[in-house]
Amino acid sequence: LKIHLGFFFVLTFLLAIAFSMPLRAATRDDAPILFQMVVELAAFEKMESEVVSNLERFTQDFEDGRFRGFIVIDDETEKPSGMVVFSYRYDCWKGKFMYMNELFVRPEYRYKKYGKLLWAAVAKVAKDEDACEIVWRVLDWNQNAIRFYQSVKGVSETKNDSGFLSYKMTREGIEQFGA
Amino acid sequence: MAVRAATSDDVPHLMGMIRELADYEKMPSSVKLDEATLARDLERGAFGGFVVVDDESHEVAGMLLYYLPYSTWIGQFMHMEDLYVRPAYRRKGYGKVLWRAAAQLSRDRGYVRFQWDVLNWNTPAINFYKKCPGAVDLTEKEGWLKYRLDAEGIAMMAESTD
Repeated sequence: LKIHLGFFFVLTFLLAIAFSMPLRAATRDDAPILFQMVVELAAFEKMESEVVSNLERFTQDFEDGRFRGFIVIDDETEKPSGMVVFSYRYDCWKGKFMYMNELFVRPEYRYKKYGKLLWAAVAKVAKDEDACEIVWRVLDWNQNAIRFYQSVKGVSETKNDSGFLSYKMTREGIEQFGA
Repeated sequence: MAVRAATSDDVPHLMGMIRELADYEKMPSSVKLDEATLARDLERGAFGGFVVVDDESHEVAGMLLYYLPYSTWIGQFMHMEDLYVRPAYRRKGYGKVLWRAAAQLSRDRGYVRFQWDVLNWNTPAINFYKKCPGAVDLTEKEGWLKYRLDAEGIAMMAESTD
């Protein structure tokens, strides 16, 4: 009885660990679900017609290391519930900086802090890989997103470019956010 | 007119020209990079470049620096970060030669976007870019003008002979 109980506790402990980490780095097998969410986000942004890429190219680009991502699997439904896609750009005055291409949590999985989890994962990579900045855009009518981004210290809003607001998180902000 | 891909041996020249261009753009203190970082980043492919060597003096006369941003909507594309010809070597067609090299690389790799920024008071540069057919003027609040060539524009630029 003692041995069986011990085994049961260890198993429960391991399962608890697995379920308490809904976030993981995206792999090639995640390309279809990532791309699906890219399209869902583009539809939300009312810009679906601007997505000229396709799953084949997206998958190839992932394999070639053009971008990386994280995925969140919802702890209750065990379904993919959100993602973040990021890549690198360059500034000849400051060096390599990170661009957060997409940050998306499916509507039915909101208010579970998945957005923050995904964003923090990206900030950690930026910190570990010594990116001088993280830059991203959000549509100027997307109030939920704007509120979300402004809730974190070290975020500054820069300019309005055809309806998109540009956001930036500097080294200090990255340091604080990842801590 | 010798235009070629920039290598780590060119880094001292690139660094010098980055500083010269920043001075011209009235933002000299904005250059935080040093040669070592620039060399490492070039080596790792974080950015790329072309240099043109003057046919008379055999000196590096100009450069074009670019990086390859990623868009989940259109895939990889080209952003021209710096295009600079040293004052002593102006009016020899080096700017066009550098730009054409970047356009050819973009065309060969199937990029559908080629974009760059220029300050709205930089009239010589603006006049230079106005001569490019297919370039679209994207206006920006801070005074930066953003320019873009689509796939067709890239092909035209790459195939231009003048």
